[in-house]
Amino acid sequence: MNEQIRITVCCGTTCHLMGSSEILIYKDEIEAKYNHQVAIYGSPCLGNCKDYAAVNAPFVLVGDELICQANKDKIWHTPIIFIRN
Amino acid sequence: MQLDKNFFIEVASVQKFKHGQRVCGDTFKSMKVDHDKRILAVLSDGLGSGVRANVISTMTATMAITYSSNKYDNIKAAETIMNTLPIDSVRKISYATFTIVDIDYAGRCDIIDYDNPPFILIRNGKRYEVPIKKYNGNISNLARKYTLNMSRFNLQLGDKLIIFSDGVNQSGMGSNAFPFGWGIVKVQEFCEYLSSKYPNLSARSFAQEIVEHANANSNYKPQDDITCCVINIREPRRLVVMTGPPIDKARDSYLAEIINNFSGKKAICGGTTAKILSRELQEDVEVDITSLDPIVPCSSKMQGVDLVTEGMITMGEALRYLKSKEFIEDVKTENGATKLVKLFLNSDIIEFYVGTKINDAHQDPNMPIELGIRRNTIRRIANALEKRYLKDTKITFV
Repeated sequence: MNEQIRITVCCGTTCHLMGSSEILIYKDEIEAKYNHQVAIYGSPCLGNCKDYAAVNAPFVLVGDELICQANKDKIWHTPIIFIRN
Repeated sequence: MQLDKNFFIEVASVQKFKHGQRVCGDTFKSMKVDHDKRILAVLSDGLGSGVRANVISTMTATMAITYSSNKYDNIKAAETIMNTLPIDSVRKISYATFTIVDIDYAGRCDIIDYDNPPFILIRNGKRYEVPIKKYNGNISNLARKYTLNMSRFNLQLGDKLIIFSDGVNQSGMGSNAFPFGWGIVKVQEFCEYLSSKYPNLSARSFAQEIVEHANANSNYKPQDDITCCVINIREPRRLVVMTGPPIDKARDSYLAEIINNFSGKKAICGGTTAKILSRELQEDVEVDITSLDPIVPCSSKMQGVDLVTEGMITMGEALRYLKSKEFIEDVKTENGATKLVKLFLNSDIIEFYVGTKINDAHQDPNMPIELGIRRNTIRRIANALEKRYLKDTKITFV
């Protein structure tokens, strides 16, 4: 059994305004799709909005990989790569 | 208002309109007279109900509070009020009752009462009898006699002063349970019961309990306007609010020190601020993603801190709640902003530590809504808390 992959969703002001809470709504569906090998957590501002332009928000970390302009569909497909490895 | 370091006066009133009426015939006004360090509260009950009563009671309360804020002679003020009121078109008299409460910084309390039910002073969970001096006056041009009840006493820590309109003690009149209404004695017993069972009840909740009880007595169809005002003397409840990262990184530890040594409730507003303090205090921040809200971002949890929320959106919403006429108890949604407002309203002295660093991302024109500058939002919140809720606030920029 692989180790659980941690998906960290930024709940900071910028990311919230750009739609990060949409991902949190689908928390249960996404976790169920991957047989609970992934776990979704929230986080206060990850600080990425300082390094990238705000258009790149919302930011999500899948494991250590940073995903810009994250949305439900991106998160829906991304963890597959990690789980197959 | 702060009496000295260990005293705080909390004033709150709750009203219920007469069944079928859209305005209240009772008026309650309170005012902080800052240069004199006094608190004034006036309750007036206009003759009858509806708009007519509302006009009369508003006039009376406004005049009474203006006169007493200028230390005008009480008897002269009462006579002027009675002479000025418009004459009721139905009953051909002009009439409104009033109670004026005047508390100064040393805890001296003056109460002038004209025809309202007697006030109740609760001390150590029991009713405390206060000597009342009666003044009999005569208005010559109206050929009418009147009696003013005047009392002067010192308030102590833990005292509760309850003033109410006759809608409370006459509630349920004519019903089987209370043929002559709830009665002043029963109201006093209820106040004693409340204060001994829930000694830490806030003034608003205390008044709410009494009004709800009176409302229930009259089968939820009150026959008169019900108003209850509670003045609570107690130790100040303190709250510290940390928001925004400091302009200089070296001051991070200073913030952590303040929050660590603070006795009272603690709140952090801002994701970056929470991260800074979590690093300095070595406590984890955990976002509670179960409480999703369409407008306000999720709040978080941190050991030793009562509330951790996001910054600018939450405070903007909190300011909107503070300025709106709706009571926060009636707001059904639960999010970071309502939690923050409840924390504000349940505290007396609120200290803000505001970091002045500006997040450039918030100023990006691509953002869907405009975010204000933290300093201004906090100033507006503090202003609303001072003016509307009579709180003490202190803002420190770091």
